[in-house]
Amino acid sequence: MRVERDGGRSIVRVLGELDIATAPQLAEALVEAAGGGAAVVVDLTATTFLDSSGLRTMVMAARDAERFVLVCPPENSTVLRVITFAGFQHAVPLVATVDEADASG
Amino acid sequence: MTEPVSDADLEVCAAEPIHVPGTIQPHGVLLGLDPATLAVVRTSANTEALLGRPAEAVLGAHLAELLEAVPLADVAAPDLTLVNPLALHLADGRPVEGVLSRSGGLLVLELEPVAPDDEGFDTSYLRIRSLLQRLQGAGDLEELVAATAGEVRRLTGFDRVMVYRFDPEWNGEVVAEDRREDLEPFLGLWYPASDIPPQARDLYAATWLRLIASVDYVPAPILPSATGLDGAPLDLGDTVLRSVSPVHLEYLRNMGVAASMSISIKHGGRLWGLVACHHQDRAHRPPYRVRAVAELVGQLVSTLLPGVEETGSHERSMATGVARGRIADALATGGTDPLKVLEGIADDVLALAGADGAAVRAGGRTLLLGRTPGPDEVAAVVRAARAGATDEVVAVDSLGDEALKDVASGVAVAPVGAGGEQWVAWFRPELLRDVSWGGDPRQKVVKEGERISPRLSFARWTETVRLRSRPWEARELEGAAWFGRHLADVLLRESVARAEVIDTVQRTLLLEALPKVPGVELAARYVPGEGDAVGGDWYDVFWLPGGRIAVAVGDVAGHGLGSAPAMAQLRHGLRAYLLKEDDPGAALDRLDELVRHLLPDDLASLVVADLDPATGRMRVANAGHLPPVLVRGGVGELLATARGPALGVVPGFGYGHADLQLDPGDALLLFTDGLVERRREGIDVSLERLRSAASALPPDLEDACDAVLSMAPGSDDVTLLALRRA
Repeated sequence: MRVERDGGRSIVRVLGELDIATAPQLAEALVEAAGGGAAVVVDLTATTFLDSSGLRTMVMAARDAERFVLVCPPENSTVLRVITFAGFQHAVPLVATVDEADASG
Repeated sequence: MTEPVSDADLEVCAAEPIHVPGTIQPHGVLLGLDPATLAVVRTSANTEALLGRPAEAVLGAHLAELLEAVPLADVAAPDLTLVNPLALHLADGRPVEGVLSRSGGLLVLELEPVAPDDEGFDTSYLRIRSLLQRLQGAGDLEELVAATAGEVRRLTGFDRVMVYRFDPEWNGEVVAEDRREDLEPFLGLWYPASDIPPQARDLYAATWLRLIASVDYVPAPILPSATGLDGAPLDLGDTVLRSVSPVHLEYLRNMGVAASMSISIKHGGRLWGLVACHHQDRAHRPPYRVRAVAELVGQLVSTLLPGVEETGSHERSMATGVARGRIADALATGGTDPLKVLEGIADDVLALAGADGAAVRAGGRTLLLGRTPGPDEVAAVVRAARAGATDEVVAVDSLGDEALKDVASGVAVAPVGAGGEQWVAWFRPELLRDVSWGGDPRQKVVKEGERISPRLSFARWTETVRLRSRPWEARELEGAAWFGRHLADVLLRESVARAEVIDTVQRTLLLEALPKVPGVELAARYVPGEGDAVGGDWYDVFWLPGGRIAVAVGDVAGHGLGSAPAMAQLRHGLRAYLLKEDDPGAALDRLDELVRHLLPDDLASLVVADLDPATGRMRVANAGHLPPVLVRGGVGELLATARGPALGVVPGFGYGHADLQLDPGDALLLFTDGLVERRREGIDVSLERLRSAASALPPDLEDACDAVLSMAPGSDDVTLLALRRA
């Protein structure tokens, strides 16, 4: 879990597995990232596994954030499918790269 | 010219038979009596001064010729330690102290003169009583050793009295001292193990007190030979005048000591330490009655030691107790996952054993707390420390791994239950410690020409100890052992309780029995997951108006068994809305509202279908759930239509449904992600495997469920609901 802040937006990069064990870390990182009303970009490019606990953490954070963008490239189908099965893309912008996330802002 | 001695030289020194020196110290006279006749058959050579006749004239004499009166009852006593010392008078009426012992078939009588200034030593009952009371009043080890040094010095009048404590390697530390004010303090100094060789330690463990009245004495030989009646060298281990090793005398002289006495302190049969008494510049000989009280002090301190060592430092002991209480409380009330509970009370777990880091291995998981080696290194460190000893507490304070020294120079491991698979390890970093030696410990002994001598310099010499942690104290290891036992109990209780809760959840949220539906076969499976993964899955099968049947499978994310209330609301909500709306998509819209208002912290997915068994008409709606598998004409397909987001994700989404026709023999499989989710594989691959398996199902629906279930990876909850039109 890595949080980078750049002006009015924060990027949270999730490395490795996002599951019931690591979801609490993401929740903390997301609180930090959203601090001061910053736009939050969650980058799942390097995420290798996503379960419903991780998904729930993001859904809750997206609800509270001023602006919330999800980054997951098509190559990472393992993670992408979990997001789309849950229909999360209906709630927040889902883009393939961080650059697109910035453009969509 | 001096040179360091070799280990071989030290072995020679260690082999010196100090209990059979063949000589005595000349401040008294030793007589060996034939126990049958009380005739003198051995005598020390120095009889002239005390007895007024040469040794030749003493040999062969009857005891009655030497003493005013022979203490006949005492010499016949079965336990001579009970009669010592004897107040005797020589033939000319002068008072002497007598000490009886037995050796080599002889009755040994040692006589010491009573000096005029002996009256200065107070061994009255009141004095001894107050002395013992002061020792008994000590609250902890520090107070006890300090009181011991002070009381022994007041009793015996030595210039310096130290309490000297051995470490496991037999190096000694001065832990208390009472001294003449002008003397240099030795408190806190360490002395290497070689200062007191093994056979001296053996002797100290066997006797309580040794006196060297003057380090400059000229030994008095025993005549006509230092042998017993059996002809063997006379063992003087039980005598008080026994001569000591010349090396030891030189050691004392090098230290500037003129007279010395030591009292043993024993703990659990082992020599724990010594009360070492030194006199500077001149000889010093407290009378036997004083030495007897000093011996009593050694015995009393030995008795008091276990108690004060246990209470130890009161505060630390309190802290451990508080930590134990909090850990027990938290584990009893903190929920179903002990590791998660421990994560929340990490400080207490560390405090229990006074460590900076800990690792808990239980239920196939490893929890790291505080400063520990990396996740991959922990198991290796524990394995190395235990060295196969998996059913006891193991503690090491010198792991010796330079790379890990800042987190794990020391490790203590406690087993959790039997089998060795589960354990708790505590870690301590390197503690650089300066040890002040009483002289350079490497210069243990020097060799002058062919003679071995003790080292010459006792100047303070400080060295830094590396790659060692603070040593593990008995109390800390007890805390570790307690934690291991307690955690084993908790885990056992938890697994029983979990089985009960799962049972309750299954009975209340799942169905006790599936309804009998004419024209439709139904089968369901629920397999609880491990640890945190349990709970969250639910399913339902119920009648709708018009002879239709509804089936649903859902999942509430992330709360484990805490999801039960949400699961119950979803299940009851779905029943109510389906009865009212007559459209699965519309029912999901209502359920989505319910989740947003009543279950704002939950993410729930759900797939629902209603079927008319008579016609095979079926409608399916999906809220963020994995696609069901439809088996039509024996061919499986993933039902990816009519899918919306999970409940609570998109307000007012507007769910739809898919219309399908289920012909006789066609089947629908609803399931949760536990059936297909794998960490090393994309979900599409898993789903494809399931779809393909569904194309070749056994004819019996129960068998088909078992076949599908056997594909589950097995760590998460798995729910499977299958229906087939007959």
